[in-house]
Amino acid sequence: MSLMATPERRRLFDPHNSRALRFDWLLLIAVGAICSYGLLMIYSVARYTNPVLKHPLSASYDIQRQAIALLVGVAAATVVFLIDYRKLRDFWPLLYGLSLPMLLAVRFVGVNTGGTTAWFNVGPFQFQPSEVGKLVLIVSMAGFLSVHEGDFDAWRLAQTIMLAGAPMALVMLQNDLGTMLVMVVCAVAILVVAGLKPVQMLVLTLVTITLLLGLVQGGVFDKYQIRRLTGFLDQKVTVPVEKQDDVQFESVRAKSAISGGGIGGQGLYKGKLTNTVDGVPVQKSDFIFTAVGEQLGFVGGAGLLALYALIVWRAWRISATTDDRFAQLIAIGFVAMFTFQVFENIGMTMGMMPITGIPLPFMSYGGSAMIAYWAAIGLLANIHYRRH
Amino acid sequence: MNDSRVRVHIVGVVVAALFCSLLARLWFLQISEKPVAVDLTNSESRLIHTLTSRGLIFDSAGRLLVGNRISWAITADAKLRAASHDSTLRNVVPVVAKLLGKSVQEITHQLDERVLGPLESVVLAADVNRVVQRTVVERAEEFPHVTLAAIELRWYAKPSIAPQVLGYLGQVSQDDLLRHIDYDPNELIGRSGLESVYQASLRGGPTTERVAVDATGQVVGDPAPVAAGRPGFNVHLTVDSDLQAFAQQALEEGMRVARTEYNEDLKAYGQFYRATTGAVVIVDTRDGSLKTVASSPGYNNTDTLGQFSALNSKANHTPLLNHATQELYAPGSTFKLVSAVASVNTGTFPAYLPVAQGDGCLLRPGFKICQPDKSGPPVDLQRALTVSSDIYFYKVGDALWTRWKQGDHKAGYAIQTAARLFGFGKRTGVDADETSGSVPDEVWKRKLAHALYPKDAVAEDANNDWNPGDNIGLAVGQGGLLVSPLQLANAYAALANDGTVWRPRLVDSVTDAQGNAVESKLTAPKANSHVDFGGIRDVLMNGFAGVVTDPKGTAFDAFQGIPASIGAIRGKTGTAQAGNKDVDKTTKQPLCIKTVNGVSNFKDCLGDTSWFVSMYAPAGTDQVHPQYVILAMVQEGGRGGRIAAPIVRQIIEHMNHLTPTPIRQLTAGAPVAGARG
Repeated sequence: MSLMATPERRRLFDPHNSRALRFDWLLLIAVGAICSYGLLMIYSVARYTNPVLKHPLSASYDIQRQAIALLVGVAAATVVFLIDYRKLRDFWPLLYGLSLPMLLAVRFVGVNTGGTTAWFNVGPFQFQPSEVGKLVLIVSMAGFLSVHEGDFDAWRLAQTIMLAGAPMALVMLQNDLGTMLVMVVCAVAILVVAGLKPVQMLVLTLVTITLLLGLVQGGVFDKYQIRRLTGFLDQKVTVPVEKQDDVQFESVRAKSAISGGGIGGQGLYKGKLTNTVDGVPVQKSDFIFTAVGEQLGFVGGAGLLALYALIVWRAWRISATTDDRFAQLIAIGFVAMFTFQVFENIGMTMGMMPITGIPLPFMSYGGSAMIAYWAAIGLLANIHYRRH
Repeated sequence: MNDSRVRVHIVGVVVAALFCSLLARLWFLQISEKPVAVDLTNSESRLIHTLTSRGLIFDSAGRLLVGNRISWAITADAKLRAASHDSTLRNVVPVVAKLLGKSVQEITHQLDERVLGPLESVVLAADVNRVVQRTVVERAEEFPHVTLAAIELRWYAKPSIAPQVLGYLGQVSQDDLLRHIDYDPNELIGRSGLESVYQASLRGGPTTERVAVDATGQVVGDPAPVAAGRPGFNVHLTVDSDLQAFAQQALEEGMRVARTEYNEDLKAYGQFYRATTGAVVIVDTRDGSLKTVASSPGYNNTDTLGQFSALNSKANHTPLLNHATQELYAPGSTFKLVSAVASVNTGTFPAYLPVAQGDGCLLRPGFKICQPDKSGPPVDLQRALTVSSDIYFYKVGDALWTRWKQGDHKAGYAIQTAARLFGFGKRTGVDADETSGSVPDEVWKRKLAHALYPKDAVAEDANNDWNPGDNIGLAVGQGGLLVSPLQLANAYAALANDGTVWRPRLVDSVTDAQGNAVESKLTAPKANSHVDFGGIRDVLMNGFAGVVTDPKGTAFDAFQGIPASIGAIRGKTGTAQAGNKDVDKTTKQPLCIKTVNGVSNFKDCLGDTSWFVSMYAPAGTDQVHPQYVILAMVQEGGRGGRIAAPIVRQIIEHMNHLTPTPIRQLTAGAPVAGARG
């Protein structure tokens, strides 16, 4: 436990009850560092799409777009920070109510990318409502579970499942399996902290497994989704490049890129597989960690993990120390969200997890996710600032 | 701590465990385990073929004609090829194009032409100058995937000597790659002449190595040998490059002189002969080996790399074609050899029976054909050949047609049968590009009528009969008869050796690098057919001797003053009509002249083809069976005795180390009356 964190200490060191000291600077520094790291890696990877540049930065289209998303994200975080989070206790049904039609609409007017229909076209940019949907789900569950005190009975569990299940089902309709998994993990974490009984947890797990098997057997998932989820299991089999399907192809190349990094990496811009035209696929978005691993090695990769751990620790710390149930549940939701996303994304590049389209927070190329995560950080800072 | 705090800590432990497992996996993957790429290489390998040197080509005297040389070339690999399809390297292509002085489209086309493997490259430009060489090496960063490479190209000792016989190389095409699985997409393949016919021997076997590659296609480790290379086999020609060079020179001189002579049929219009194409063929009659195959216009094999299609236009008279083997001409009076054999074989005219020439015209109902400058006393076969009497052979053709009409197709087609026996109308089997030609008969006439009037049944019906005129024309080597100079020379070779029609051959032997002969069915002498001359061979030989020695002989002027000590020269001239010589009845103007707005165009007025085919027995050799047939042909060259015969005389003089008599000197006088034919 940090000495700085106790109210007694704060009063001791800060007789004026300084606002500046109540702000979570560590969180901001960690996020800022990851964002800079991300821009650098995207630039490194994107250099190969613009090899002949007079002004390396000016011509980099990818960097410009990502930087704009970053600025919008910071602005969003600022707005979220300025509004007292406690007001959300009353407003979450409104947010929840708005998010459902948005998630539904994208199924019909959205843009299809790689089998997933999860994007709205907004001028030159695309907007992915499911990224915001994750935040709304966390806030809504926290709001619902923090207000209704008392015994966590079956009826309450059913209500919560219905609350969480609606947006999950809509995301599933978009064929966005990755985001749905993130939602499930966040919901489970919030339920656990909210007082889910062990028996309930057991029943819930069994029901989920039965349901999943039923869905797979019933053919609700298409082969592509199943293949993506199970493909990582047989990557040990060495298959010639010509015969690899795209799952093996991505997985084998990603793993081989990271393993080529060693301790110090091959050097920035010098990755054999990440600084080339035909190396690791979708590297600036889903597989950005391969660039870190290959070019900057174990040092770069472990450093990045440490920065993520810092963010997760700051969120967890709120959850562990606050007296506000609402804040505690939101914070644990974010802990689950960031942890799972980092674990799933980095895990899949290293062959531990199935390949799903989950971005690495603040690193992967992509505007909606960047803005949504900054909003989450804004909310965490908000809680940190006002939790006493 | 209350219950929810405990639960938060449980979540914290799970989170910490997940982060630790990520860190452990990262450590395992990057530090304690071997790089994954090593596993990949075991299952990934590619074969690399390195070409060995192409075989050499020597002439009959062992002089090197075609070898190999090193050329500095700019090559691009498969990744630059990908550049034209995605944005990645698109900027490089224009820079390369500018450096090589080519258009972006050209470079893109070169890159797209073939499907390249990851380790293969394409030659963008060969023989690049030092500036380009230095630029690519020193500014390598600006030219990713572009390399300066040493490649092997053909070297020619005498680039203008027999280029059509030697042939040229071209880039391997996609079709070639499908046919030859071991070919490199970048290699050169014989496209014409001997380079093409002997491609399999000349190419040799490439060195094949297996290399391991990682997932990106980068080579990992050392190559392992799979197959050792073998240099290409060497080809030894029957052609004497010295004789060939002189023949080409004599041919050019003859063609130059022809161009200063008035076209006899168009003298009133001030038109000269155009001498568009020409050929010289020298055959060793003992086994069919070719000492010289000259074709004009020629080209320079070195200058023409990669520009063949532009060079080979009709306006240039298709220099890439071997006019001695691939082009077809009417043989004119030289064909009387065949008609004579047919005549005697069918008993039409016994060899010693004199046939009246009358006024030189043959009159049939509704049909009259004349040779205006031939009239006089009756001639027998020998005399008919010496003075090249057309009326004699008109009568042969006419008599045979009558027998055909009477239903005796065997005798009626005697000329056609003899022609095919001599090798006309089909390929000779020579190891060069050749065309088969045509021997006309009723079937041919029907096909022609059908081709001429595909939509007019009435006109087709009116023109598809095998008429007396068709057979009469054939008897004097006109009409539908088309032969290549090689076929004609080969037919006379059969007379010279008393009956064997050899398969003409250009290559004496194929040897490996150690000089051991390699079995090749293309090189051994082979008889195509046999002609039985019966008792008339002497008559024929004497008739052809008279052409040169008799003052009335059609080539007498051309060989006047040649020393008798050089041996026996026999021969036959030909002055073959190539165009329509009909005259408009009112204006008296030849119909081939197209006058538009008072300006006359003589483009369709093809001059006569000048032929001379000789049988030459050098002194000290068998005088009865001449060793050589020497043929000269100049398209639109005029009379055989005035242009072609002097070319042959020069060659014979050269063979005897005499100073060649200038052709201008031999044609100084006006055309001698009666010398036509």
